[in-house]
Amino acid sequence: MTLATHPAPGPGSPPREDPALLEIRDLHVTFERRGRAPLHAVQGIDLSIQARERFALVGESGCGKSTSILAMMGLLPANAEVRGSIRVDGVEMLACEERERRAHRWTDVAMVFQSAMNSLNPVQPLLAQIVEPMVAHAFLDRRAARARARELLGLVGIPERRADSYPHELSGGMRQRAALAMALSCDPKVLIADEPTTALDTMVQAQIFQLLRRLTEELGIAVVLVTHDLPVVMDFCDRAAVMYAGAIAECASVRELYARPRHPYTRLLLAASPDIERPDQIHPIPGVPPQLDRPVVGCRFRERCDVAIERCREQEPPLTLVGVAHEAACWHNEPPSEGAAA
Amino acid sequence: MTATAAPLVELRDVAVRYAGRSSVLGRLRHRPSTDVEAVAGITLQIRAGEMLALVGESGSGKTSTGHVAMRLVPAAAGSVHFGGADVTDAGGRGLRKLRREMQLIYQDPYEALDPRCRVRAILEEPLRIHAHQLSRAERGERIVQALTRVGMTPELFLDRYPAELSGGQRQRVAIAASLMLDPRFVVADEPVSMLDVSVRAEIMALLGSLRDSGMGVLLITHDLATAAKYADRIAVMYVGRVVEEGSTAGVVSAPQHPYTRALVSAVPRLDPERSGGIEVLAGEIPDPAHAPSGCRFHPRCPIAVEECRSLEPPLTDRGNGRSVACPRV
Repeated sequence: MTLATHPAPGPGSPPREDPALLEIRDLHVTFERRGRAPLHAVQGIDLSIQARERFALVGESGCGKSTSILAMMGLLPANAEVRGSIRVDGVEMLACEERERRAHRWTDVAMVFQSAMNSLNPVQPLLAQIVEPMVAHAFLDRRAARARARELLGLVGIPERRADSYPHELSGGMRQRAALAMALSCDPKVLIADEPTTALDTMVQAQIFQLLRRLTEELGIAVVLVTHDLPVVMDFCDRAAVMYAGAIAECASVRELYARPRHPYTRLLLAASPDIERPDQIHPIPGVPPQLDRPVVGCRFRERCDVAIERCREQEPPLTLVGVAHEAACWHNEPPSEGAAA
Repeated sequence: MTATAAPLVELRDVAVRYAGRSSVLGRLRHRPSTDVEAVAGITLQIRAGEMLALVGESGSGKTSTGHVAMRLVPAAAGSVHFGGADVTDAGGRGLRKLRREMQLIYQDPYEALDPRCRVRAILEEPLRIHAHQLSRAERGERIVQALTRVGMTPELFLDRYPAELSGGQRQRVAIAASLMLDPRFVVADEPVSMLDVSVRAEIMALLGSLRDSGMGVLLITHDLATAAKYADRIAVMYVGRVVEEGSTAGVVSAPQHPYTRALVSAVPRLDPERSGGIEVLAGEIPDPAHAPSGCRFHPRCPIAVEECRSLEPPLTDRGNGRSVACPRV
């Protein structure tokens, strides 16, 4: 497949020979809150994503997945303190001034949201909206931008006669296609998609993912999908990082995650996800994630874990290599002192 | 679930129409406004102790079907039966009595609960309206029972406000509120689509336990995987019509209607190395105001022939409780 043109990407550790397209090192995001303890939403994550890759950040609400991508986009509110490093194609985003960042947004990293209405202007026809970022970023002059906007509408499967429609005249699926066309307008290298199909029906969801797959294969774009929906991740992505309470619990290819999950949370998430192929096995995950306004002692998952041991109460397990390009943060993966291999 | 048991809820050839928007100019010219037929003649039965899943995309008419079954919207044609009685035209007192026996569980537990009321008051409200003969102590007892039934410790939750509850807990309280009057029929409209995957299973298991205790449950969902796990039977809707109905295992493992087949194939699987590709249908579900002629699915159907454009296929019995509305399969 197209991935073959790139070396197999590692899960978190940077492949030294081939710099990643998107590289995140030790990312921390803390929200200062008036009259309350600060909230440590993201507590040191590392990721590296290659061109053409379809990568997922997966986890429950509040795990820090959306905060992480808003940090990548430079779209966090003023009370957020961001530390660490986010490099897109070698350029350090966190060192940029806001003006510089704005230049990278859309041209390097673009984003589509769960509700396409959030990125579309309700009182402007579609074509004009897609032209807008291209002109604003001096990517093309207005005439060329209009021609490209028509091409983009064709690419995402919006019929020509819809070019002058307003967003409210379109179905949810068509709006998400329009938001995609806009995101693609300035030829981004990375497309971040935050729950892009959660509001859509099954068949429309399948259409959108078919389109996103074509974009990675034909245009070489990397897609970072943020979702809580594990079957979608397994169906669409090459690799995924499972996030829990602000940190990465496990990161591997989706095949590895499915066949050999090495973190109890991944195992429980798999068991909690409805699967039409085996409808009889489904188990809720008891308990709730820890509060992130105080330091986490020990393993952050231990209170909901079905295999927690004494050590999990005191020491936080680091994310370690547990297989080929497979990392997990669980003490159970430590080879016992006798030296038996996992 | 014996075949001879009379259904708890029955829809016979029911249609639901909403008044279409007519333009000012159209009204001046006395052009009749075009009504939108959201449900176009469907027949369904739900037995006590059974969960029927109504599966379809937005615009398929599944929510309108749930509403007409509860008599929240009038039936424009056909008849609605509850407990063996024709309630199509029930009104006034009869309807009020009926409402106590049927409850609706909404998708959004954040909006279904009054943020200014404690859990106790939320659960007490239906009793004050419909069961004012109960003493205070009796009401308190019922509230404790309902909370216990949805798996919440009463002492911990009675005095909390909705804002102090997680999404899953809120949905439990909403379900407890709907149980206060001992309904015999519950319509759950996308009850878990706003919840995290870790709590979806427990809410669905709770609805399953209501079914097991003898209630009739109509589950309205676009999520075939959830329906596959919890429902006894599945009815698939497309633009106001049921295109296939049957036992859950049958519909999911051997779908017959071309739409059901495509829908089942489009559900993402957990196994990344799934066998068989996805059959992605082009186009989108048509607006019910512009439903296609003949078979409503024909413009997107991979096996449509000329006659599908003009002949509307009836839902025909294929044995083993399966019915399919397609003469080509």
